[in-house]
Amino acid sequence: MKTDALIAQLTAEMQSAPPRRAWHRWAVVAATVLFSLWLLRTYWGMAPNLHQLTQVPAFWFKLLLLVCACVTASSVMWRLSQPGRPTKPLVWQLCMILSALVVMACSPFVFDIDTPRVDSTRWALAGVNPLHSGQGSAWRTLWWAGSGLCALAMPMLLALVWMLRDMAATRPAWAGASAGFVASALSAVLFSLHATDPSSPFATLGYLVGMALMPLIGAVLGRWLLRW
Amino acid sequence: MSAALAGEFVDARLKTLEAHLQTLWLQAIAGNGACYAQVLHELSGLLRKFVQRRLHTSSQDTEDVVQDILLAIHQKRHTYQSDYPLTAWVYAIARYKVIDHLRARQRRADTQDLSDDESAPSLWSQDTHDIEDLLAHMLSSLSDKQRLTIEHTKLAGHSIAETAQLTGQSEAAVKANVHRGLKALVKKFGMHT
Repeated sequence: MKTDALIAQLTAEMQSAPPRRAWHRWAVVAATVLFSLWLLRTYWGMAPNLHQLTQVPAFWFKLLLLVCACVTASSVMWRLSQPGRPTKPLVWQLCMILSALVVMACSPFVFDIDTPRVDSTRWALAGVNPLHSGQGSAWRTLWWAGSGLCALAMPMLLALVWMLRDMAATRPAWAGASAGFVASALSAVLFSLHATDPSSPFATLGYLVGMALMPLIGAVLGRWLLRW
Repeated sequence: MSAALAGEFVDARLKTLEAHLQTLWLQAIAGNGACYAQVLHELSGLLRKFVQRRLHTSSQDTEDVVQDILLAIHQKRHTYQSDYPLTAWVYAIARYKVIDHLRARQRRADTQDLSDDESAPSLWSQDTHDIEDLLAHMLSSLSDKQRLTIEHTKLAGHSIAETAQLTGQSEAAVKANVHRGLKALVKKFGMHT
């Protein structure tokens, strides 16, 4: 076919079709976030002492960090989904937030609410009490926390990938990985409403492992589903 | 000095080109069909050069890729927002499609190699009645010197000295020809060890 004929055809098509808006895709993503929140309430349960937690600065700091991670990751994802947009500066920002997350998860922040314990090191990301962890249950806790975070993040990842399919990622695997990171950060925000006291340092580690795993899953999905 | 001036000149030209194309594009997206046709036409000229530089193939192949890119631009036109250069957007799409095309070409070449192998008679196939036929076929691909020395030493069982006498080559030449011939056979028909 002649290129000029193709151009004429495309022009006719452009004029007959109104410009597209992708609001419904955003709506679906928002709906899956709510769905995940519902999953959390039903299967994991909210923290019973949530109102007390809100008095603790560390809780807000943790939440703020996670929300920052969410926002930065979404903006990286958004840029990756549009051809020709630079992403480098934001990736640095994302790395900084990530390292802050790791540092915070590994530092003994004070997370006491009403029962000060001398012997417990408090871990901040999940809010933790090591007294609960027996040596034998450590791996199970790690596995449980990691898989829980992934399970909660999975519907959101699928919704995000579905939304990105409408866009045009020129690096599908990276776009998928960033979507995975957005999903895992959202999931961690949700989990911070759940995991407050009765969990162990291994749960914190498990959340981190889960957050590391989701971008990998996202990259695989992206390679497969985001080609166009 | 003059290089810097030329650089500035090119820079300025690129900027005006970008401004021109972006204005056209935004008008087109607002619903102006004539602008859309014009901007696609101008882009197709740029893309043709872009693709030609990267593919080095026939003009028909180039045109196919250019049309592919135009189609992608059309289908993904809602992903461009006016706060960054249109040409960056267009060339990113073009690069993606060119890489896609190169991958497909590679894949096609690979499968072609495979089917070539299948069309050659196979040692293991049931319908090869006569192994001599196969050998003759394989040896026929060699030069006469190599073929003769291999036939004498490996098939007829002559020694190097006898072969040298029979073919009128020196012993060193016989050894070299056998070696080269076998190497060529392995390269053409052999399993890679």
